Amino acid sequence: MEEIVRSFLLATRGTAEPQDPRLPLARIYAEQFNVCAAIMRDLVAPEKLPPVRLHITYSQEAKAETLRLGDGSIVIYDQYLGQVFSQLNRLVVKPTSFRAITCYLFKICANLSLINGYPQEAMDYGLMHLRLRPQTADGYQPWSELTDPIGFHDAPEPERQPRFRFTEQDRGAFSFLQEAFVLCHELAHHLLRARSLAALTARRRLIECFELGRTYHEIMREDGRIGDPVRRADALLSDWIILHQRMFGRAPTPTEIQREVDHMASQSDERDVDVARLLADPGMAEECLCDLFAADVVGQLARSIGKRHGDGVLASFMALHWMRLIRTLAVAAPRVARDDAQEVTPTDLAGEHARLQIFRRTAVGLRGRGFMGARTLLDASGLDGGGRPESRRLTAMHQHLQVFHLEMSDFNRQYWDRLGDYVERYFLAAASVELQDLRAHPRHQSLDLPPDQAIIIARWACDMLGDRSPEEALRAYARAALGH
Amino acid sequence: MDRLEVVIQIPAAERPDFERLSRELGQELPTIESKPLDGALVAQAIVLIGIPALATLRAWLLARTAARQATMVSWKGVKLRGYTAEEVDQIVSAFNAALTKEPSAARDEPE
Repeated sequence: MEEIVRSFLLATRGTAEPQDPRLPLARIYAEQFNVCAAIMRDLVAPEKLPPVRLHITYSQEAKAETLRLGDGSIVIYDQYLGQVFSQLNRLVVKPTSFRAITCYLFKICANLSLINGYPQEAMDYGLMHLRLRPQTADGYQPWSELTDPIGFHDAPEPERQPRFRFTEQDRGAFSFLQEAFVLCHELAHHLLRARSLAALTARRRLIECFELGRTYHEIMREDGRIGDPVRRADALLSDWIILHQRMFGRAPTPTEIQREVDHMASQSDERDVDVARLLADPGMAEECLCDLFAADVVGQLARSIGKRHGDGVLASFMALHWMRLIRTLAVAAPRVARDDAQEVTPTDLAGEHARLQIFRRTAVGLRGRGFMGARTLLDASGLDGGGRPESRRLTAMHQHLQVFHLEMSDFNRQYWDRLGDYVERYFLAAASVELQDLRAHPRHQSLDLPPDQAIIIARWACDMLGDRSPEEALRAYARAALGH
Repeated sequence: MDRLEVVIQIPAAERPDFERLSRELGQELPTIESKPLDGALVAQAIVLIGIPALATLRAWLLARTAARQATMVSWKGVKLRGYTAEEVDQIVSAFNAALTKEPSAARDEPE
């Protein structure tokens, strides 16, 4: 089995090794995995678990996957995913220019094109990344003679109180918890499949948390305490006006504002998720249960590093956001690169969007001591009695829970302010124009390379070669082709 | 290089296609099911490809494109999609190049 997994990793990722086996990182992942597995085993089925192992790699495949071979399972975790999470966290907690964001988004597009089998597109996205970088790791100065590929104003973000309470200092802890969420989600699939009374009980308790969270959300919404559509639309519009000013250096005209209002009206219908319908799909329900299970374990892990249980749940929510963003770029990157005008639609992102929305509505059910601990706040609220609690009780409960709900809303707003709206509204359109410009350049013609060489150029442009690359000659070729 | 160790990926529901490939190549194909965190279940087979196997592989890939079935091949971390006949030919010529010569990194610098 070991030999097969090694062959599989060498073919699909080019390596079967962690980033640097001499560093303690790989050991830390293994320890973290064992801690998570121990917490989950205690909750689910102490004895009767089929074996599951962890294998750490470091490649462009920034993802976790579970391999099934015969009766055994191996969770493959790629350390590069942690780096991606960390960088995305940075873009949200720290004011960053659109130029720097664009530079990083091109790198993600290059990476996604590589892992989805589009080598030429990966090279072009890599070269776009290179054009915007101050300098590569090996000291190469980018392709500076081309015009500035960012044709917009890129004014700094206006001074204002950050909406999200986490800062750069929390980034390491949050990235750690997000990686743990991914590992725990994979483990959750494995553990919930166990045929034991404890696993069945865990599944039942997760479903109860789900229902509690959903009921809370629906009652509060009916009551007008959360999700007021008018207030929400006002907030979204004022955020968009700030974004417009940053992008174009001027206030939007009344016609532009009206167009935006119409656009938002059409979006809100598409984005409203029918939770009950989605959960009727067993595959989706399983994913959502595993998200909730994983978030609870990450909450417990958060306590062990001096954070709160709720911080672990919030980090999990952020990780789901990152996966939705990565999916948006994975769908869009090949279309943009092939000048396909088809936009990314909510249908393309149905799975990721649904998981995010369902998590937001149901994770509140974990509030308290987690799903297998003592009775949660919602348990104690009487919501599970089937009837609607009296108003006074509802208010008291809402006071307890709204902090949790607001933290997710605060993250959402800061995410859309600094990153989300820019990606979906401007980056993808700009990328299409910039790629055409790049390909029209005479020097680009000399980079008509076979796929394996295009991939090396893409990795070089994105600093993803590491120490393993023997391709010095090709690197020199690319530099020469680019005029240096 | 005599043979390349290649991974071929198809949707898990189409796994019987690997049995056909296994028969045609006269090779046992170790197969792994894999599910990424954000994706669908896929089946991946490890295949040893030498020059004599290229024609068989090409025919198998083309039969899949004719049925509008997606395939991905990977070797040494290089991934290529085979959804159209043109992409299949790209895959086969990349394998052919890897099998018939040393890696072509040491090209002449462009003028």
